[in-house]
Amino acid sequence: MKINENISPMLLEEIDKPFNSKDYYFEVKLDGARTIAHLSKNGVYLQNKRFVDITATYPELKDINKQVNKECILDGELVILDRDGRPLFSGLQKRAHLKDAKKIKRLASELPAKFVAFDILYINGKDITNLPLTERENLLRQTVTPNSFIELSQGILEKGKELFEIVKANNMEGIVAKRLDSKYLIGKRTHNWLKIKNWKDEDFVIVGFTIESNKPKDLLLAQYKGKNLVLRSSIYFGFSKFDIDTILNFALDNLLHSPPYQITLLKEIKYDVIWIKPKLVCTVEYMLLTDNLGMRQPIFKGIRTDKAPTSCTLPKEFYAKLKSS
Amino acid sequence: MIKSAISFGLVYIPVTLNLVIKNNDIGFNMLHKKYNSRIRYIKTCPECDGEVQASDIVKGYEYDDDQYVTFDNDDFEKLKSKKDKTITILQFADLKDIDPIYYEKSYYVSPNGAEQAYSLLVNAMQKENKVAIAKSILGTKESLIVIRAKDGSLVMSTMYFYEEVQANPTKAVKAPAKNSEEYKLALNIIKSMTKPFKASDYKDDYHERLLNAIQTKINGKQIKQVVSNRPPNVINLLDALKKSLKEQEKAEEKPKIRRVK
Repeated sequence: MKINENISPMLLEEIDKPFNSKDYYFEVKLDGARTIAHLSKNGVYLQNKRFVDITATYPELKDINKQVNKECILDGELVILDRDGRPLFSGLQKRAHLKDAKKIKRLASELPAKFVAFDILYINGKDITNLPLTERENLLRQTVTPNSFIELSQGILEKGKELFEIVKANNMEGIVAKRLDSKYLIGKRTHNWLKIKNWKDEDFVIVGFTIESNKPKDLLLAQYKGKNLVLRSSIYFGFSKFDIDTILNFALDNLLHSPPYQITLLKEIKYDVIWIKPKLVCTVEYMLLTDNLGMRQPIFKGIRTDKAPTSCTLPKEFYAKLKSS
Repeated sequence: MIKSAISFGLVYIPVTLNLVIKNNDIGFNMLHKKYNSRIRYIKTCPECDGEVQASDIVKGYEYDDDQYVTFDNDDFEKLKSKKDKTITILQFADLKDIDPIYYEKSYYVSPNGAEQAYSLLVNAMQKENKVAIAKSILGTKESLIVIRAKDGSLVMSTMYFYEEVQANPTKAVKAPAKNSEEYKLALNIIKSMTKPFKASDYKDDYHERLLNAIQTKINGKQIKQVVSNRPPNVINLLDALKKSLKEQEKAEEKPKIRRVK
């Protein structure tokens, strides 16, 4: 391991229910972008999960190396916060794909980002991923002095259930549970690191969009039941320009006059619809509505290129609803 | 300031009413972008195509399509009797019986002569710990009124009538299981977040920012940023959690202490 050399972050396994255990450390999960920060005397290098250099996208973080007393590599979440300090994923979407330096500068001031550190992997030339989590946590706290642009993750021992309830009451994304003795396993997903989500995410096939006064309004999201597509939900076109352009460019070459496939509507559509070939897959995150299987405050998380449309299948809970409608 | 009088049994107390709430809204005018000139509203009539003067305007009630009965100021005045303009106390009641959804506007009620009678009413209401329910016409509208004694003087609030209040559209929700962990936790969170309410603790932040922005413009500077360029801290959930855990511990300890005794 070397400073400024890309690292694949340790991943989380998802489980359904929160639990309490003396062997675990529980942290608040923030809805941001997983980021590895390389901090040295020479400056800051920020990389994402896919080894993309995002340092220039967030110029407001260029001095966070002054908040550490040793050369180090930190793992954390890059977030944009609203005035109450809740992560605003839409803010991140507005910033993620900017190239124009002027725009980057303006948004850095309007929607400033913050790095929330939760782990330390390397100090002064030494790889410390083999140390247990408790020791790394201590070293992290000794190394970082938080300021407006770098903060330490919030966590508590043992009380996973109680932390999850507070997270739920505050409409936050979820919690993370890490074994106190866990080593940092680069790029690995093991049950030593778990996530329990308050929000749910699902993959959908984009089958088209509605049009209101000549502009795209809502994206139409469907899933497969056998060979048939079932239109399950729609989401407002208010996400990043990058994703919107991707979808609209794809749509230009893939327009359909009517859906040639069998499509069942779980949701009434009140506007004109442009249908496109069912080839694009996207991930949507939302809070659960318990009574009618609907989505509350859905967030468009991005296009997925690594998943086949046919593998986006309708959950069984919806079968009964299909019969009744 | 409104002049009125309270009628209470055979007693008649002249009073003046002053609004409790000052309108804090910042007014903006509509301007033509090109000249910064004020936009003027012209009332026009489709029959004669010309501007209509205020003196030529009457109010009409549409009782059928395009069929109106008209009212002028005299017609409205005739509907008010002298008695209606006074605030007539109709009954006394307990303040807690009034649902806050009925409250509209509040006024300070000051005596305007007959101070003895005023003081009598204030002190008697304080002694009995009751509020007066009254009716009056303020402006053009009949108002239901509640008068209460507060720190040695009277304060009144106009109230909406029962017929004005709409039915609540919220459907009945299922009650949670009384001994579920979630319910207990919710109780604990409420307990740990409870403190006496002080109105002065809360400020209208947007109003202050707007005032600052106006001042900045007057001083000839451009507004650079409305949003601060330093991010806030992540919402602190641990403090609330730790507080609630402490409350839980206390709740669990109490019965043990009793057993020892």
